Amino acid sequence: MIPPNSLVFVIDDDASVRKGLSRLLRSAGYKSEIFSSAADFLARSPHPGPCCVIVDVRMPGLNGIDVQEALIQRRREEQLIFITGHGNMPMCARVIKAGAVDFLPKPFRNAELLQCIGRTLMRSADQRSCAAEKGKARGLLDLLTPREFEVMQLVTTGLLNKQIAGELGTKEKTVKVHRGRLMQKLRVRSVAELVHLTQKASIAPFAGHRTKV
Amino acid sequence: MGWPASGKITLEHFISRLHPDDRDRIRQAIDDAIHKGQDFDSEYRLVLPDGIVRWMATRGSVRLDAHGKPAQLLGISIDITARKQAELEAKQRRDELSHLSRVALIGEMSASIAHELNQPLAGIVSNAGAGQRFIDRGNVDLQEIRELLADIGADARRASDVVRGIRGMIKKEQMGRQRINLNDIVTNVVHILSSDALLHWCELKTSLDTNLPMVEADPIQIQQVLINLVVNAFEAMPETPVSTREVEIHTQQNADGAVRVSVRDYGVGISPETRSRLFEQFFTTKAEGLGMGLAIARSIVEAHAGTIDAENAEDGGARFHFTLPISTAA
Repeated sequence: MIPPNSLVFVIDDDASVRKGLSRLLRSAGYKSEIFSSAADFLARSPHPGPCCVIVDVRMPGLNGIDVQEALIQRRREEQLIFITGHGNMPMCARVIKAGAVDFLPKPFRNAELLQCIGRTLMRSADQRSCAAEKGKARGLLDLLTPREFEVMQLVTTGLLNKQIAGELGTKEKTVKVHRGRLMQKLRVRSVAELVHLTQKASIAPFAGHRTKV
Repeated sequence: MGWPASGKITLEHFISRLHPDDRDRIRQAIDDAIHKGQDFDSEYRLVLPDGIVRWMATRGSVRLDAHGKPAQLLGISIDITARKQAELEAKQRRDELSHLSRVALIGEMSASIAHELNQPLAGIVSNAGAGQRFIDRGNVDLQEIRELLADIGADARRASDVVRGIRGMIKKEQMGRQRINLNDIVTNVVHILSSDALLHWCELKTSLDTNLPMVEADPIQIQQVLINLVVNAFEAMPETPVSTREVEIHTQQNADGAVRVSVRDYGVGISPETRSRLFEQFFTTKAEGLGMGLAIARSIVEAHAGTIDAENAEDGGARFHFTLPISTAA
């Protein structure tokens, strides 16, 4: 299954490889964009949907490793599959350590490459939906006032209203009001749901008094 | 030797006994001796009646009679067949050695040859796979299949060109001396070594004199010299940061009637102790080197009446250069 809105990028300086890959991808039902240089690819705006980048290690000008470094530097999360006409172990180890999905020597087995692309797009889709949920959770949390945020953090540590009031030097009744409001704003009905939401937003647990993370 | 019993040898009789390839040259030399009073000093082949060929060297001059007219050609002839044989064998050994060194060079380039072959093979494999998938899915666009097959054919030819190029490099026959433009050799070498440059993460640049005079040379041998220098340049730069790894091939006409080709790298340069032994046989600084490349390069260049040398470049790295005399033929 190909995740919706997914796109495969190919960066290779060799015309034979570009043509062959572009057809192979089309025959397997993938949408693709083909680049003859790394600079052209980096100049393109990032694709918002699931994507995967097939890149040749050795190219004149910017090479595959430069692309990987540039993407890491820009905190982009594109998944990379390296291909090479002649590779060696140190190079393979280097790009895999830096997070590449795979390192395939040319001429690759079509089935192997296509499987690898399929896997990568699924991974990318997961990553994208995680990122989307995180964005949504953070959006909700942004609706809270600083005081509500503090109360929210203390609630997630498991304190009772009375204890929270003590922590914040206020009345239990006020805490109760804050608590009701923030649960409503965040559209959660239980402490368990609230904890789940903060995890999705990757909000650090309460780290100290009166601090908003 | 089969001369007439009378002991007198006429000029025409003498000429007729020479190897056909030598007749014109010797006739001209004798003519010069008679009419310009020059000494006669030639090496030529004599064909004996039983068909055996002997090499002879004759030195002599023309005797004039009382009226100042040429009367006799007096001189001494020596059979130099043995010396010629030795020279020929030496040349054969040199050719053999330069052939072996070309084969060794192919070995050094095996990684880049693999790279060069794997590109069209990858094209073929993915095009073939795409074709099968199109057919399996039942949506066959004949135009697409036609283009795809044409690309497979072109890629196969490209792969076979790579193989032919290698065979051309290691073939034993000599092309012989011909009038060539060294810029063409440089362009060809850049093409041959483009993958090797990539494998060394190195940029290969040229700056060519567009008005370069022709030289008289064996293209295969001069190509071998240049490939040797460029591959050495690549290998001199493992410690050089990738961003400054560069090799420049430069051609120019020298003031002294020679064409000069230089290869510059940005590696560690040449240490003084290395420099004095650079062109010696079996001298190498590489772990897997044979120490033949530069020795053979020098013997090739010197057999072409050229010179070869190396120096450290102004701002780091080494520069190897060789010169060949400009062809005098029109």
